[in-house]
Amino acid sequence: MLVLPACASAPRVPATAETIASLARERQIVAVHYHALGTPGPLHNGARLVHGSVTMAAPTGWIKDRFVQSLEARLGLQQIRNVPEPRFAYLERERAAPDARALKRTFERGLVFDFYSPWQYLPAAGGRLYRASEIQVRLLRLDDLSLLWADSCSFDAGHLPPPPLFLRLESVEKLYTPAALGRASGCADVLVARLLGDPER
Amino acid sequence: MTPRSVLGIALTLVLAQGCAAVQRWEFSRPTLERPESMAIDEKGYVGLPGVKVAVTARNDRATFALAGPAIVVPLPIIPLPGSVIDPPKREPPFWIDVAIDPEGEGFTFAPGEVRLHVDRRAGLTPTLTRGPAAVSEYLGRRDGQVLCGFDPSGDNGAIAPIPVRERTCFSLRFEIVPPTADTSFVVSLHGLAKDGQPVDPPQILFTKGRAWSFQCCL
Repeated sequence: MLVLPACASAPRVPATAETIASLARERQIVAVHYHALGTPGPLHNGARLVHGSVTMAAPTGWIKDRFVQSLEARLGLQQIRNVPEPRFAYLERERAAPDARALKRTFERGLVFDFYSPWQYLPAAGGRLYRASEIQVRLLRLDDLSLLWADSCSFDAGHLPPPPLFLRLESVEKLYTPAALGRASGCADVLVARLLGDPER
Repeated sequence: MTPRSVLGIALTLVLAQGCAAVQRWEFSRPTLERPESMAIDEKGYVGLPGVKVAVTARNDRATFALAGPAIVVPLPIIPLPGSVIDPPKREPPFWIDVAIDPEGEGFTFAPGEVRLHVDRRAGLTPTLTRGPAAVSEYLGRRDGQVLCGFDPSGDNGAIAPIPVRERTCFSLRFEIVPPTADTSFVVSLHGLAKDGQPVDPPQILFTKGRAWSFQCCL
């Protein structure tokens, strides 16, 4: 069981200096994230239990927003288009990452950052997640679907309060405490630093 | 070996054995009413300019089955009539799933504009729509009936056109008893637009289809 989290981690592909330089030249850079909430409805319907747990992932949209802001500030970029709507994660045959061909079908050309997080289960009583929340990021060139950079980051979601039983869950961010979201933001900062080759803190 | 252990082994073998089943299915197979320039591919998608769409009807049912043990060799030897294993539904609703796979970002879909024509009567309007949802990922979709999978919103009743930027699914509820596979019906796929311009709606004709399935489990 101890080996499982390591097996599930995404492979790291460091960015080259050419990749970083190409960010400034590229006309179209898109940033997308995938759905992070798999149980949208209430957990209870009256006295009846509908879902015994919440299916949730790391706050992909939150981390993406922080990442894009930070990267734009660091590199002086203005052409990153941050897509607000989450996408469906149609996983590749190996079930490790979302299928990049779907991104090409939507955006056709340019570069894409995509932010994916595997789902976990939060009991209706709240508590700790089984393992640390992990976010996986890739930079893909859509013309040839080449992988220019891949990395991941984990953070401790801490003790999560019980999710609302009778309300529709609006977003996964509502399930995290402010402190946990702060650690998620730190995760985004780590990813930017790794992309740009900053020394490890 | 004691009689007790022999009995134990025999009991374990009986309990551990799997079962095998051969089933015959009837369903409504999508075809094109006007197949001049379009075709349905092996996954059930109709190719339109810049977009592929698939439509399925959830009225499939098993009409006959053979079931039996599967210790070493599967032995589906016990006949089961369809009226026992999967009786036809006699109450509404009737669900239809629509999957849309666009190229680019300009497509929208208004699921409430889809019309269902049964026995050449006037078009029925969906009373409830669900989605956007993910499209279920399984093979043999043309013979499968439930296209829509994970639905992140939990919302329904969308009226305004919904942007469709990736492979996306919608479920439409009609307040009629699900027609049997013997009944032909047509789904007019109105509501799809590209950059605000309506896409010529394909007319999907459903006719009777049959399929066999084999299941064997331990």
